[in-house]
Amino acid sequence: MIKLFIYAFCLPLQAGQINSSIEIQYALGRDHYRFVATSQNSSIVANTFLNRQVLDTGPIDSNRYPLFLKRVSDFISQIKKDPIPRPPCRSPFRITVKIGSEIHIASGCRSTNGGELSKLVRDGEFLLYSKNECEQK
Amino acid sequence: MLQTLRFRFLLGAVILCISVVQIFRKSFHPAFLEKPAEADVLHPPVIREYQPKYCDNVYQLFCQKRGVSQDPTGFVHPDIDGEMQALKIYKDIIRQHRDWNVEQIDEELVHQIFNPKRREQVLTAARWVKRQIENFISRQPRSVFNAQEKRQILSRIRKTELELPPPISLYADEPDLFTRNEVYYQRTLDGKMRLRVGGAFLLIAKSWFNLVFTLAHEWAHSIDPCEIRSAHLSFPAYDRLTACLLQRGLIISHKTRSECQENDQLSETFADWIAVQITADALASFSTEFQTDQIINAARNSVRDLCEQDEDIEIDTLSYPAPRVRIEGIFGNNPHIRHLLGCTLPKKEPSYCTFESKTTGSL
Ligand SMILES: [Zn+2]
Repeated sequence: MIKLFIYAFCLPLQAGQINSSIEIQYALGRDHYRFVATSQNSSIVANTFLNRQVLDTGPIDSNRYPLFLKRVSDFISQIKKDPIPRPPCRSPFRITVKIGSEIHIASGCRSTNGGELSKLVRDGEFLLYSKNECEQK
Repeated sequence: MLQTLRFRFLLGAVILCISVVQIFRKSFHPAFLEKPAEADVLHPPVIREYQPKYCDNVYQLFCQKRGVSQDPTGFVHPDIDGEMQALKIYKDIIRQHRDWNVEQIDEELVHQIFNPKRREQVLTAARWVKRQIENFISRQPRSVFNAQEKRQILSRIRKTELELPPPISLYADEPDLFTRNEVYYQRTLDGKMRLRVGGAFLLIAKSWFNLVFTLAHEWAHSIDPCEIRSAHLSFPAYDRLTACLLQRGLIISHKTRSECQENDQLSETFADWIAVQITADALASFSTEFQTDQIINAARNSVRDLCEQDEDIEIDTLSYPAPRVRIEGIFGNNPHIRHLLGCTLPKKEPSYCTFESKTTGSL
């Protein structure tokens, strides 16, 4: 009974949902990091990389993914609407969001935007690392 | 009888104390590391007739062996090891506390990673490095920096702060740093100069020499030529050094190079150049305690993490010189480093750039 409840609660995105992906690339010091989340055919998978070596990979919470996708998309819109003139940047980043056939890209500097990039990365990683019972199956 | 026993006991206690002090001195203890100023410990480079084979290829000497490397003060692990360890701690906390929110999890993560022992290790190294950079600037002759220039440079070094959690609020605008492997310098939009240290770095950086080089490099950014320029300052000694670094190919001079703009290597080369002077001080202060192979291991650990650099990525800024340039050209060519490694000076003179360098011909 409990298992059934968990299964129902953790049902993946509804059929017919548009495929989407989020990619956050950023440099910190001489290291390059990448967070990728892909929603395709009702499954959502995320990966984190350090210098192209995989740090972690796995499914993420389908209930929380849409909100995360929206936050990242809003951040891209904000950067595009209000680009901050930046000095030479020590820690550049680039974000790419694909929703269906639409592609949105924005780039910037980590030290601007009030740390929003870092918070997004942290939240994305939390989605991946906090896999619950349903994703563990 | 009783007096003899008392004498033996006292003698034993004295011997024991001496032994403990010796062991303690050889261990990783800040008091032992706080050696006299570098001017007292650096010996003038000696020109020798013969040198070990490795002197011709310091890059290979330091980078050929992969994985963990050790010197008498500790280890250096590959970057990914620290990230993996930090990640494991993070995931364990999440799994053990499903009802906790992100802040509570970060609080526990910082508690476990940034513990007093690890913090103290970094703080001790940072204090030492900061003082050595100040000394390095202070002892430059008047022909390099006048009194006002020295004051301006020293003021920037002193204003730069090392931020090390807890509290977690210190990194509120960069929460991803808790599991990152970085140490890095930042000047905020409001002009604050700071160094931050990622949690993964604390987990793996156990070698004193690696801490020294890493912190010295980052601290040097507070006075690098691009930061000096953005503060609307300019120093002729910096121009001489820059011209020399360019001439020696230690900064790539491509057609589209624009000083201090995207992809320019000046900042990074300068930070390495300062870090090498400070690391030479650190190595020299141990040179009488260490055997040659221990000195080599210590030197290797200083720059071990520069051996690998991911260059093929879309957002790469190309602002770092190639590993071979950093290790062979900037570190391995320093006269004091070469002396400590038992190597002769390169034939070409003057071979190593200084604030007093004179360039020859056109750039
Ligand atoms: Zn740097």
